[in-house]
Amino acid sequence: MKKSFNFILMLVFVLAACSLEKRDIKYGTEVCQFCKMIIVDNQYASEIITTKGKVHVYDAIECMLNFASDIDSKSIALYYVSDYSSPGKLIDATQSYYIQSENLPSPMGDNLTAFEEEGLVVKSQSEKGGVIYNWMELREKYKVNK
Amino acid sequence: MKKYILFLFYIGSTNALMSEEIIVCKTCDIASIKHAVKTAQSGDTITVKEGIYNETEIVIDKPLTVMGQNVIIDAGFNGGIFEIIADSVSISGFTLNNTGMSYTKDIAAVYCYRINNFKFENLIINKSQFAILVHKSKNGIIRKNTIVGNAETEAGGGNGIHLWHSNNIEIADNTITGMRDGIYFEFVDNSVILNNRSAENLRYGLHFMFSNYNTYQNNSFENNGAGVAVMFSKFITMENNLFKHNWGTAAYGLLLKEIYDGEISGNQFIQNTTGINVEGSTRINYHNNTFDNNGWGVKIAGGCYDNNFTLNDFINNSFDVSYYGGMNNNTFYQNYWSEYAGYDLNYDGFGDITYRPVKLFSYVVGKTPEAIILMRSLFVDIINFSEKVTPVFTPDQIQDDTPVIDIINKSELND
Repeated sequence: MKKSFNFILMLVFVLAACSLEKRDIKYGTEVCQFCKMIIVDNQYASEIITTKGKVHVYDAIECMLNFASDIDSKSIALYYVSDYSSPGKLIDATQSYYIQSENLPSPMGDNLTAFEEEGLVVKSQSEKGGVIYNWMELREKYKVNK
Repeated sequence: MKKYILFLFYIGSTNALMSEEIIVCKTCDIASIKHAVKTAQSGDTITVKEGIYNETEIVIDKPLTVMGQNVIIDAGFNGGIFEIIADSVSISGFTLNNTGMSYTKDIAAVYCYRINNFKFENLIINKSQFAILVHKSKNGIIRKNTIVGNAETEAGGGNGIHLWHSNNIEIADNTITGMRDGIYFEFVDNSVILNNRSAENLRYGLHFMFSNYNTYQNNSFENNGAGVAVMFSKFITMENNLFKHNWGTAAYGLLLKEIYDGEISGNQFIQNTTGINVEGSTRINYHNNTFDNNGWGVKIAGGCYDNNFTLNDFINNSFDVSYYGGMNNNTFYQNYWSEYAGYDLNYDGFGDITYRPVKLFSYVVGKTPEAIILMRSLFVDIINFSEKVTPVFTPDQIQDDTPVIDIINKSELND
């Protein structure tokens, strides 16, 4: 009994070690994997986690998408973007809402901004203008294959 | 003739009549700058007398000259200070403090939008989100300002002098410290940046994005996250600047990415992790630059075509040049290399045998950065030497056929 308990405990630890988790971005020191710029803006920073657990960080959503379109996207397990309305918070990119607006300039010039809540993206569209995208539309736009 | 003189006199006198001086002081009838702007006519001068004024969002909507005499404007972290939406405005002589921060709005000590012909001079700006923010404006001068930021609140902070969609701006003799980027250009053309000092900024001393036909000269960039980043831009001239002490894994003196037709001359790169990092850059002339005591002098990654390095000094760098990718018509010609060990037996000033600046070990480090720990070991010396004798891995075309024996740009070293 005890042995099997130990085994299960071990299994739990091993599985926990394998789980893919987002990690915090070190602002001001880490460099965007795509454009080589130092990441400072916590309203736009993005992150990819590969199926092998490697974490790539980007200074803008467009950099993440451009990077993803250059590689086999099957190797990417998770996508995270920053929630514009709560700076520093990384949210699941596939469940987020996006706006592309000239009046919300992003670090790499494509002017993409992500929101966690649909209400806020609609609100910022009415204030700033622009086009709203969901994740699938954005994938298509940047030719990230699936 | 007489009529003509009379006419001139007439014009002169009306001008004198038209432009009045409005005095603002604590005990005057007009005790706030906002009030003064309201009462002023186009073309007037507002002189603000000594004191501390607590004002925010002073909107200047007509051509005015606003001068401070020992004046501090404290926004008390409640918002921006000057907002200029009219042509021909000049602001000088103020200390602007504490604008506060916002995540949803860009707050600036001096903000202007869609204006022509402006001058911001002799301002001291402390603890602002953005210090000077210029949107869609042209023909401006930003001169002799001192901008001090508070880089600890790194992510929220803005840039010192931030230009967006602007044209024909002169930025001269400013000192910028502790901001995100010291000077930031996005979609800015035909502008010059002269004699500025940009130091201890969180990200870049100077940053170009999508900006063409600009020149920066005689500036110094010290201790920034990275010195200068020039990205996605064409026809940038970079002359006689100092790039010093930009240390860190991601730190460069100068970062070039996707740029075309640039001119890089007379600059000094001293004690940076990487002097210049080049990626995807074409038709750039590097001449008369000094690379002194850097980790890497020049790091060239893929996609670089037709770049020429002539008359540069490479002095005591751990790696003078590291190179990835094909030759692509990049040339090295008549540079000084402190590691050159050849002789000049015919005394013509040039070494008698070719110098190959790329070391094998730089390839190893490129593939496995951790290998840097072996630096300066006997093993590394041996592989570098054997590679030098019979190049196998390093592209043997990267060579300087006429390495210069003496340091070329001496006068600049003595600065």
